[in-house]
Amino acid sequence: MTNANHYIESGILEQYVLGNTDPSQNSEIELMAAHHPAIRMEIEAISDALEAYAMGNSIEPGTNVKPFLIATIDYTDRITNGEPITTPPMLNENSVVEDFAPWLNRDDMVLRDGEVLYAKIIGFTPEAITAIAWIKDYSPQEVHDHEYEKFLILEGTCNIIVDGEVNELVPGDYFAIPLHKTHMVKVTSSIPCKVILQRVAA
Amino acid sequence: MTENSTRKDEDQRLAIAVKLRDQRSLSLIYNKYAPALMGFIYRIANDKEIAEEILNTTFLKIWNQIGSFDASKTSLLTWLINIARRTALDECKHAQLKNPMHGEAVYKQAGNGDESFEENSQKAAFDLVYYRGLSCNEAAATLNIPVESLRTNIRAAIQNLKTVHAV
Repeated sequence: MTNANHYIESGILEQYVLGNTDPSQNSEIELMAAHHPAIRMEIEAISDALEAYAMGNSIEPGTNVKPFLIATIDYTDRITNGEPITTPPMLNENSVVEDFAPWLNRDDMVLRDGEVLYAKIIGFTPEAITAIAWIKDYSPQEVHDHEYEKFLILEGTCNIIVDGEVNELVPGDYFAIPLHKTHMVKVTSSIPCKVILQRVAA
Repeated sequence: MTENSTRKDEDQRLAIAVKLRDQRSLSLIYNKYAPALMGFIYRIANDKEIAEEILNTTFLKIWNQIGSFDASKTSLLTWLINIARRTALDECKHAQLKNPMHGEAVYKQAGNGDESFEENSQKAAFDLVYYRGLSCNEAAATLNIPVESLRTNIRAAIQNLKTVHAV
């Protein structure tokens, strides 16, 4: 038991929990933990303390980090699982909803329950990222300095507010956000606003 | 069952589901822990936009490396924090750490605005390893103390956290 106490007091277990020990130390510590419940409990207590510390210092990330992350993972998985890469047309003032029918008609292009901002990427090239996106209430205020953000409204309605100027949009409408302007989307329909969203390098 | 063990049981179920490539469970892990990871990363990156990029990369790694998560050895959040630390330090190396500090400056910085620690010497040792990812030898050299003292200081710092952030 003295052995175990000495081990605990040495401070090696803290380094283990911090991922700061080498593989041979790890094997030794794991062997010790298997034989001495006190060591196992101490490892858990250290881990609990560090977790509580991290949670106590939380900062809320921006609301659009998560939708972009989930969309990237979803798209990467689809391509890895054999989905053919497609190139949707570039959005412009002449675009119509019908241009995107091959993607819009797919069974898997649906809003996932419980998400307030959700996107399915349908095209990912060096020039442009194209996605079908669903916005439930609003998208947070943003400024783009390096890419043009373009919208084609599919379902529902929304106001896109650019530097305080309100643009009321309905299905079929196209809208491009100018560079360097603060903008946000506010949904005005009871259903989520479904859009084609394209980000094009400036 | 305590709140903490309920939290960890749920984490185990989420981790298993993520191993089976369930995106919804990753989304739930994000809701649960992204703020803790963001707070941690922000302390390293010192910039909200960079911190959010690092958070994004961290979660891509979590998704891709979940196979190596072993619930019998570590709890989920501890594993996530260790991934966030490696990611943040990698990315900040490219972008150059904003405040590379040595010796006295580390102690001074350590004393600022964090009441979780009783003594600056503990906090300084803790910061170098926890936030800056230094090995014990590197941290001990930076602080000019023997490596045994460094480990003892970090142990004392974490002991102190146990009482401040009692679970």
